[in-house]
Amino acid sequence: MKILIIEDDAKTAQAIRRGLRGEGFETTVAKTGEEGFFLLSAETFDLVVLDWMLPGRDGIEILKALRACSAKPPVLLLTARDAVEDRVLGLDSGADDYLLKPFAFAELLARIRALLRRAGQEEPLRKQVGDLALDFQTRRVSRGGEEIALTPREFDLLAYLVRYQGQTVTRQMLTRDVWRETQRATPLDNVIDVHLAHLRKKIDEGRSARLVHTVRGVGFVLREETKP
Amino acid sequence: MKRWWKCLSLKLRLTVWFTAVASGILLALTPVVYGLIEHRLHAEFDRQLRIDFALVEAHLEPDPGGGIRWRIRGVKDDFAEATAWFEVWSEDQRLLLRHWPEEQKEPVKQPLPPPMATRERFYTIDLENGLEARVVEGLARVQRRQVLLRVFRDESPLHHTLREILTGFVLGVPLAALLSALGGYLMAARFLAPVGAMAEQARRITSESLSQRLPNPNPHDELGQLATVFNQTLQRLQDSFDALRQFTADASHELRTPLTALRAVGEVGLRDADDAAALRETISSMLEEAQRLNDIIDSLLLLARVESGRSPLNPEPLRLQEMLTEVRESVEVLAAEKGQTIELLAEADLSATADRLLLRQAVMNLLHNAIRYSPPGGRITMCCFPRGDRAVIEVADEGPGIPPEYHQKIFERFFRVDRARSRADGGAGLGLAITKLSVEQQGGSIEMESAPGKGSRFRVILPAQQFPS
Repeated sequence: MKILIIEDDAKTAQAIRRGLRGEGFETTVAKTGEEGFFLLSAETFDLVVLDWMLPGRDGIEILKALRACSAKPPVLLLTARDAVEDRVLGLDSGADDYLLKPFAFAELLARIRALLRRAGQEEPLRKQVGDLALDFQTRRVSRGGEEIALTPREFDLLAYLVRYQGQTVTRQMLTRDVWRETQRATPLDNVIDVHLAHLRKKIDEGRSARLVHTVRGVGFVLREETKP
Repeated sequence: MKRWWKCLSLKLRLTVWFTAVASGILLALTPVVYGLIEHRLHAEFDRQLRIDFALVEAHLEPDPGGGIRWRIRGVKDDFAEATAWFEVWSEDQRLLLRHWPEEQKEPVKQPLPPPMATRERFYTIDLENGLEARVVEGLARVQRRQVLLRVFRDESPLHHTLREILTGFVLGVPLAALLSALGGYLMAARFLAPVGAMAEQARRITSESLSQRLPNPNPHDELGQLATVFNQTLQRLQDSFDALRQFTADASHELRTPLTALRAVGEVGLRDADDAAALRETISSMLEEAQRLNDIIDSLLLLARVESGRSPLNPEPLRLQEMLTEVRESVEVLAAEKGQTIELLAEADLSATADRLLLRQAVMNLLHNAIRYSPPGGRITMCCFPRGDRAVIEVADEGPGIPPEYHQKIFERFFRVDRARSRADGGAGLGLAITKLSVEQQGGSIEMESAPGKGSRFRVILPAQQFPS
């Protein structure tokens, strides 16, 4: 999978690049709009991470030019502008998704994966992580064959973690996707923490292998503990 | 036409107006006054003529030859002798006697026809020398004999007087206009002088010297009122500048705190970079501080956006019971952690007009605070009820309460009663400021009741909405 990163801030570009490489993606960085556009016409990419504010041709111009070409990789637009009109303009210009700066790398990764997956993959009805089994349709959860009773909120939370299994999800992602809270400044972090503590208690307590982990300063991740 | 007029100074314009009005009045009044005087003088002249007539009649007597003679009885009057001017005619229209002033020999241009006997008659005739004379004629009685008497009086003194009056007017009106222009100018200059002073002073006031005020010698007249209003505006400006300065200072302090932690933790972490576990700890701690910074900035942005009015408000009718239940459900878990109960008493039909997101956030902030400050096992009460045409949402807790000296301050940005404690909770002291602002932006208000040891009670008051039932 080849990803083109068009971002003028060297530090951000470098961090994204290293992070994506670590996840097994092939990455190329362009520092200006012109350079990015040149690379896009010369090579084929599976996805473009595009900064809105660029010296020279800005992100929107690149988007428009890109949409006129034949190759159409999905585009994830990065921006510090968060007014609703900006969001609409970004999506109207042909961006496939929109991520607000400052963002957590975990969220960027989740979105990139979602965009790459978008092409026709259906969500499975059941999912298994280690000995944890989750049925999305009946909303039942069991671990090691033993049924676990969850509240609706806890189930949604777990389902989200399972969907992003192995990836870190941030509190911001949970606030937006599980609690469906659009206002960024709404203080739900404590609420999320308590629910997660409850969930962890029900899923992990008394088991040999823990599944729900906290990544301090970032968020949570659901994965099978791999003993080093 | 309008343009040059606007180019003139106010002083000049006032003067021009004043002069124009004064001249207009004078010009309109002059002919009227002159006409009145003229009429009056003529009437007086005729009255005089009638007296002359009576005097002449009294001194006529028949002479023995069957004619009439004029004889002044008593004191001899040279003047009357010299100026009397009359004719006496018999009823069959023969001239019986003619007497005229000494200096006027045969002065009449054309000899007049004999007078008619019918009734008294006044008229004016032209004289040789271009002058005019007024004439009265009528029946007179000389002892038992009836005659016709015609008395003349030279009009030139009357004309002379009238000419003098006219000259007075012609010279006086422009002079009066000139004087009124001068007076108007001086008056306008005098009254407008404070405007210049005010403008001069206002020009000197900048954002650095907002504490200065305009001079206001007389607060009762219009200029004084203007100065008062201007000074009040300055006061408000100064207040908001002060608030802005305070806010900037507070904000930079609040932003610096996590930044300081970020740098300190980073630098110290770099020293023992060989220990992978310690490094992990360092980075996690730095990320936490970054998240805190992020939260503060998000809150500040929200505040700025609500304040600027740029964020589009979507006022819609909201069923309060529904919304309160929803908010309670989303944070109830926090209360449960502390063994607190949240009681909800809501009238099912009560609705308010508000922006859903902002109101939710406001109520959530209040509920968060109630949970945060209530003791474990405490009880929190949420309720909503109508008050007149308004809907009230109330959140009450059993916390330590707020000392009276902080009642105003708690809605200020970054204010916290207990700084150390709130910081540990992750609060930046912006929650109540956001709540207050977003409620006020929707035409509502917020009030608070609290006393130390008695808990706090916050009320959000919104325009109510009647649903058709």
